[in-house]
Amino acid sequence: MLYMHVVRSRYAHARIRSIDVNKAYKHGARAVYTYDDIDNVEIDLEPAEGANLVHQRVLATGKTRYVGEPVAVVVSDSLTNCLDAAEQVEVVYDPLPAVLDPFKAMDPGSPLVHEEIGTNVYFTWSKQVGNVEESFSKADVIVQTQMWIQRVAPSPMEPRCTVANYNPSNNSFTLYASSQNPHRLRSFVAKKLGVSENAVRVIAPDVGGGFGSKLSIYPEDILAPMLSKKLQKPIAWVETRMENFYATAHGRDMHGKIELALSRQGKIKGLKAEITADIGAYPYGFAKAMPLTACRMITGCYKINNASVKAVGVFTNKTPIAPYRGAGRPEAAYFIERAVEKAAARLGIDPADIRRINFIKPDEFPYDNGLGMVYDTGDYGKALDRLLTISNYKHLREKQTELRQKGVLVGIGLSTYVEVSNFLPQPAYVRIERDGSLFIYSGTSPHGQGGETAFAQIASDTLGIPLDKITVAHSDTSLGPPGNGTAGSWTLASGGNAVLAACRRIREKMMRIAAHMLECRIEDLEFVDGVFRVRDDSGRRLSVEHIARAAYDINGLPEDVEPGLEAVTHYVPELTFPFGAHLAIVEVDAETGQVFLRKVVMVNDCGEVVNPMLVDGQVVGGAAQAIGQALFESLEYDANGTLLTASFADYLIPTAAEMPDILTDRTVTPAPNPLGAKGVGEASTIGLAQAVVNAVEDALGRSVEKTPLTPYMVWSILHAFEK
Amino acid sequence: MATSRVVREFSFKLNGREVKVRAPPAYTLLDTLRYIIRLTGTKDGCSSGDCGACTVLLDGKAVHSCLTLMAQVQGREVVTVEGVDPIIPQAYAQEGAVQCGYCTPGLVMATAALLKANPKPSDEDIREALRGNLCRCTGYVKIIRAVKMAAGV
Amino acid sequence: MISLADLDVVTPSSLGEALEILAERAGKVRVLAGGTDLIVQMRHRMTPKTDLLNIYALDELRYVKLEDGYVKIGALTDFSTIYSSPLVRRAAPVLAEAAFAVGSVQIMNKATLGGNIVNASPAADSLPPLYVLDANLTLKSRSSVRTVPIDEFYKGYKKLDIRPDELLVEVSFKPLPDNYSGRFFKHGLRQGDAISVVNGAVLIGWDNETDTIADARVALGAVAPTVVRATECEKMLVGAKLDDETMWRAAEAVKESISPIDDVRGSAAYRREMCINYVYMTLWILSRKVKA
Repeated sequence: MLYMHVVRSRYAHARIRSIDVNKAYKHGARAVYTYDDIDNVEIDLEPAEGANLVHQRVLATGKTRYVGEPVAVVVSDSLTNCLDAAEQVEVVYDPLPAVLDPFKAMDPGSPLVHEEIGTNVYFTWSKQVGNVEESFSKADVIVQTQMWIQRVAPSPMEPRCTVANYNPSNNSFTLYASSQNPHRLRSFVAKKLGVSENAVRVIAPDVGGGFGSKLSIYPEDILAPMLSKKLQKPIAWVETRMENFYATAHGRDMHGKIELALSRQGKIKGLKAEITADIGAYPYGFAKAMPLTACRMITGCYKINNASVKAVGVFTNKTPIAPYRGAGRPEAAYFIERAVEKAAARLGIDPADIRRINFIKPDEFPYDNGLGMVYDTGDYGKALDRLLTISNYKHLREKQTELRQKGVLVGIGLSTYVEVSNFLPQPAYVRIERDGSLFIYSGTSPHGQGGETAFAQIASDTLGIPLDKITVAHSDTSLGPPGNGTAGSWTLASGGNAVLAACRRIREKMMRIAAHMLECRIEDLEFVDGVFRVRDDSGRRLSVEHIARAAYDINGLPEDVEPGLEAVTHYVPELTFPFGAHLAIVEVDAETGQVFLRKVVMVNDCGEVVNPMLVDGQVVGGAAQAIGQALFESLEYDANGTLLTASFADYLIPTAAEMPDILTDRTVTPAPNPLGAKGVGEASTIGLAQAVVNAVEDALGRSVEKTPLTPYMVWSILHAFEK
Repeated sequence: MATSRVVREFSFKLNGREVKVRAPPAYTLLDTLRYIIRLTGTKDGCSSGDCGACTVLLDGKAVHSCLTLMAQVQGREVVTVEGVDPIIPQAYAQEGAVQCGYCTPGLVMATAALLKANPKPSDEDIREALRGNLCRCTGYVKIIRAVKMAAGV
Repeated sequence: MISLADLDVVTPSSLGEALEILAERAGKVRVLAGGTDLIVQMRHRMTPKTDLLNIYALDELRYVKLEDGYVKIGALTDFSTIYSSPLVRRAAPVLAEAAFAVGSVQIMNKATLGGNIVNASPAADSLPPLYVLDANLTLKSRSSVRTVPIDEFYKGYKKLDIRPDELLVEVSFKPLPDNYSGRFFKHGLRQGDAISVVNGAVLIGWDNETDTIADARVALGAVAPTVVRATECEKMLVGAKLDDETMWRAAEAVKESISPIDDVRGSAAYRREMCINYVYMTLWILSRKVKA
């Protein structure tokens, strides 16, 4: 086994003048490669229509565009030798001015991240519905807001890593990768290495978290197998935590200018939204799709007939942006929910009431918001009611008034969100073995969410096989049809429906075999508690094990039935629209700016629930990330584009000590799919951050534009007004 | 300068057994456990003492194995997640306190250390004891319950 | 990040042996105590990579005792031990408070008092208490022993009065008399383990007869290249009653002694105000303690 370590650009923007690898060889390198030593293929960036397409190669050629971009790669016989040798690779850079602000990047005369397109704009997009200008000219009140959802680092506890093994006897590759979508990785690796897909096997064993950052295909994913073939040895690559901060995709980083036109009673007549997305140096997957999703979901839970949305994506000399838990929907919910709360404050209307006035009503579904989304089902009033009940809202506001009279800065913030999920199809392959045990393969790649348990439950319910006789497999591309991994809250809503459909098909076949064996018609059979029995003669019965045995015995089967007891399905989902209502209570210490998040109450509607413990895990886990986004996490850059917060000492994710009191509940509004499931993995990162920020704004009585709300930020807000 | 390594033999107790390991004296205990001894339960989350994923017990106290050099291990007792009282990881599994699982060994070890010193910890005690262990998946609520279950409170 | 695996590590079995080695290899070897700062710094090239003198096994430098009227703490004593030591809690509670703030349980168990002092971060949590305790540092070499008061030990940012052949072996201070009340404060960006934005220690010696402040010691960290004593603040407190006006004026006076910088955690102006606010709040808490 050999190890690989990447030499990375120290500059945000620079030409590469020279690379000297001689010293590296003297310090333990077995091999060192630069851009012209390898087949320096292009990374497949987002194939966005109507966008200015740019290119990234596995190793930077001529120019580097973000700190952390791969410039050379060192191979050695141990990780420690790799680190030593990599230090000795001498790269001479001619630094160029770095583009770090997406607004400045659009100024004429700004340095260009990609000269060949003559601009830093990746794409622009806009859409309108209704008559926006009229709605604004007729409005009683116009609320104008500006806010920035800051760039964050997904920070899975396991950094990226991969082991690539080339098999020369048949020109094939086996990759062990910390990936959220092994099949997609397989396709890209095969394509880039010039082999067919069936010559690449990708296995993603227990993946230590991803949150979207392990969906993208990175240069290292191509380098490891490429070098394994070149050197005819397995190659292992392990990212350091600092590399994870620099070279693994970041999330969010959108600026929103949102304007609401309202009547004095609080009815939203019109909405204007301008979203500016900092893409980073290269458009990794969904770089355009995410701001577009944010635009399309900007009307939130509300009936807004007149809306105009504009989005622009801009290149900067920073790490590329890619999906991070919510991928465009947190931004949409953040922008609209913050604007609505500000409107409530401006009009003197309770934030719960203003929402109610504007909600899409339950009988108005399916609801076409005119911007490209048709919401399937929803009952936003019910979720809000439940929230207000379980949080004892009236009492909270009374208590707030009391505390305020004593001078305590206490704030309550709300958020009612709707989001869109279930984007991609999934296969499932299910097989009952000869002894009646069950094998399930899913094209999803759960990595802690517990999808395996949910699948087993679904199969057990449908086929009557006990849980301890069920095995669930996934994330090995040789085990079944290509799937789309795990992300986008689709593991249950898409993957689970695939499992359900496959199990139902097997059950149908079992019925036919049972009818044959019991010598009756299929209509006379019922399936109860794992047993097929004749309806009015329950003594005539067969267990699943019995049928399984028969299914593999050609002598016992009906003529038109093949042996075997398995099914493969490819489930194509419809988009679904989970929703919910969240509330946060904060106290702010005016002397220090410290925000004490006291309590968080979350009501989520993810449709029908298969396993409440798994739902809770996602809701509470996501809440921690939303709290991090609101209060603690900040990727700070210096003027040269170097990250000042590239370790967990400086980039603060919540610890157990940061977590508030949490109360959760749910409403159930089924989705129109067989499971009735909507998905819940991203609920909290979509619904909660703005509730916390709204609470702080409520506590301060001052406008908040930027997050995270560190003590310094809050103090600055308080003091800005004292000047 | 050196690609040649100084290598020494270190004797210490590992999960109750006396072991002898040859390693560079400045090799970390973490790397020794994972790459030389091949006990991969202990995880590397940051290599800088900020995340707690590499926590082991050294002479009964929770420390970062990424910041412990083999020269500091000589003659001491090390306990890793492979040698901890199984009641603790069982409690974690049962309470749903494990999602991706990467932070779990470190948390289990921090829990073991806590329960040794404080067999009936309060919620506050638990938060304080685990404040050096980062988890990105669970939001910690079920982890605190798991510790209480393991403690029988 | 670089690897440290090619470093040689010498592990002496006694203090005497350690001092011999230091004398011979002064300047070419770094002392490894707990390693929680040193290892990170070497790995990230914040300090040059050198061979290591591993003193972690020298148990003779691990103690907390009362001797000759002084609390004496061996330089290798870890912060968990300091935090839970009944002697420290009785004689210098402000140091026990700081020990908890040093970091997570894992860091507290491995980081040493001596290491924290010699690492010399101006934000080191153990330093403000040692300043208000008027602590003395004992430095030994093969051929010498000397004692340096802590406020003379730091000559500038990370500039120490310690020779390359010397080892910090002990920290000592007089136990606080009963009429003294002190408190450590730390402002970080989260509740969990965090680097200090500002930190400090306030010690008040109370004159029970006149109900005024007989002695005031205020040490502030993370707001200057070294920890500083807020002498103007102290002057305003001595002889005064601990009433609100005094507390405010004294807190404001810390401005004279500090020179904070802008960084990711906050601006200089913010640090300045936090210093003032925290000193005020700490004085307020102490005033309640004294009244009780």
